[in-house]
Amino acid sequence: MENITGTVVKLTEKYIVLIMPDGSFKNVNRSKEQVPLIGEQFTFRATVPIYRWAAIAAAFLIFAICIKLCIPLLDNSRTAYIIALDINPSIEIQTDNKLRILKIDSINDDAEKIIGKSEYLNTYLLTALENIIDKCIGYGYLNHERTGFINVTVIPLKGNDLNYENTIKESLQGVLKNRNVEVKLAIGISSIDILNKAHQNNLSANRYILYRDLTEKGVAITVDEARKIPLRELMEFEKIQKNRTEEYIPEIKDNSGNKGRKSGTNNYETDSSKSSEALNPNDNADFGSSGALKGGNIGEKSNGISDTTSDDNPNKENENTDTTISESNSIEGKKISPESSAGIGINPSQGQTSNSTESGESIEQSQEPADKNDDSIDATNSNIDNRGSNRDNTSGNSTDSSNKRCQ
Amino acid sequence: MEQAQFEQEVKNARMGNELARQNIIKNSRSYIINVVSHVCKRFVTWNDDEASIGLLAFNRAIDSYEEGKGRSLLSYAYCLIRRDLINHFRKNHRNELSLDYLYDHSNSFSSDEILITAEEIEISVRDYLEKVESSDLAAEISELETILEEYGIGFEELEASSPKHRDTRELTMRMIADFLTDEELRYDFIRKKRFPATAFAKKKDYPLKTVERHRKYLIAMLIIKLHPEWQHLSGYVRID
Repeated sequence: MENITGTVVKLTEKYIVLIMPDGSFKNVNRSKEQVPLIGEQFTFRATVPIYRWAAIAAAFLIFAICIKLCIPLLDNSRTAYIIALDINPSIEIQTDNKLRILKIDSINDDAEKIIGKSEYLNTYLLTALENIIDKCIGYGYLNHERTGFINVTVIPLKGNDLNYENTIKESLQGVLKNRNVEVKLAIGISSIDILNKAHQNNLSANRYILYRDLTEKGVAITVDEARKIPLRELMEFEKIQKNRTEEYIPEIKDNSGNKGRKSGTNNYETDSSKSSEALNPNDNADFGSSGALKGGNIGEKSNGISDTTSDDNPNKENENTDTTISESNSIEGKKISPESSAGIGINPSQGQTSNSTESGESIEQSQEPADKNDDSIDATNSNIDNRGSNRDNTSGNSTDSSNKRCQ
Repeated sequence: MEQAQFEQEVKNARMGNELARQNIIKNSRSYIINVVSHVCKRFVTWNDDEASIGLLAFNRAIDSYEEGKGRSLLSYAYCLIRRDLINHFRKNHRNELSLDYLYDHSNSFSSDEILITAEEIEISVRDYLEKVESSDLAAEISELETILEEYGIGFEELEASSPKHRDTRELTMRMIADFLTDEELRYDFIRKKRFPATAFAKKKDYPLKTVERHRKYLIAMLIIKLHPEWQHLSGYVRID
């Protein structure tokens, strides 16, 4: 604002009319006390016209709008770390470089319950995590009865490379220990790209990482499944998927072989006095697989094996079949189909027979189950006696007797 | 009106020429009311008693004005108007504020000394002469206002049509120069008391819209330009 001087040419009730040195006229607002003479020099302070005020106001308004729009960006620029937390509630926390919470987002409905009122803003991450854990226990996402899962991914933004994951891990472990909750805690570092990809797929960062890992391993999982199934199942998805595959595709021999071996070993521990020949794992595995897993084919195979072994060495055959018995009993148990139980049924009686022939102690041990079903023992013993002369009958009789035992 | 012509007019009025008197008063009306307002320290209209006192004082100034004493009629009239108004306030004691004002300015004078002496009037006149560059300017302004009224324009209307930027001001000055060179346009302007905007725009090839926008301002400037005897006001219309 500057002082402007002009010559008074007229006085009205509202204005003092001036003629300016450049020949233009100017109406200046007059106060009651201002009564200058015509021809007198009058100095006034130039005020900004209303349209200029309007322009200034408009500029200010635009500036305010820009500021309003930029506040989220400014907030983002202050964000130093993003912590993705998956318990089952999926939460994303933005913090500054001192781990003070700037923003907290719930990724799923469960998280809405936990962080509904955004009471965590401006609190410190570790305090908030403790509170979240407490709420998760309260809502039953974590409990004392079964092992829970907590996945944490720390995403440091550009220029923030302080490793806070250990701090977070130790804090969470401490909190969980105090609450006496058993939890499998997984914590890792990732990048903003992963987070962006997770957001593109509408997943939390942790779920996206699990999904990505599963996909890389060749496990068939859809994004929708990764989003919907509980974290526990997602963590064990591969295992579950494997078990499903075993159930529906019984031809996978590797798995069955492993199981046969495992059961065989158990059996070895109990029957430690047996000969090295009898402990041939390959034979056991074959029997195990045929007996335990192959279901409908078992009867035929076991019969075949019985044939060959009975020709070569009846004792050996008995020992081998003995292992198969325990395997089938101990591992597969109730899952065995009637056909497989028929196949397996041959062997207990044979095993008991062999035990009884080899050592007294063993007999006593193995006679325990035999005592429970004396009839079947008798039947199998008689079958063994008759086996050499009448193979067909043996197999048929033994099947019947074993069926009896299983029943 | 030139000084000699004006003095002759005053002489005629003093000699009893009522037309000349009316003409002088008519041209000085805005000045009279302005002086009254100035002395009263408030905005006075012709409906107020003070305006009448001022008018009577001015009329008396015409009668008692003596040429060749180094002062103009208006400055002499100012002194008379001021004195009459002060006497009026003293007599009526109505306007306390005005009396207070007078006391403030008389400083050490006692109540007995409130009467304004001739010496004091002289001091006031000197102050006034110092304050106003020339009373002639006031006379010119009053005269201009009277002529503008004939065109239906008041001073307060001129701001809206005044050029705001330098280039527009230069354009309006070129318009005035072009207008004055055309005798026909000048004749219409003076005789018909109107600005022939359309004819001017057509003849001199100016945008009619621009001419119309600055019409009142052009009229004021043309009047000043057509009165070269207004030495002070002529300074405000500089055509390069």
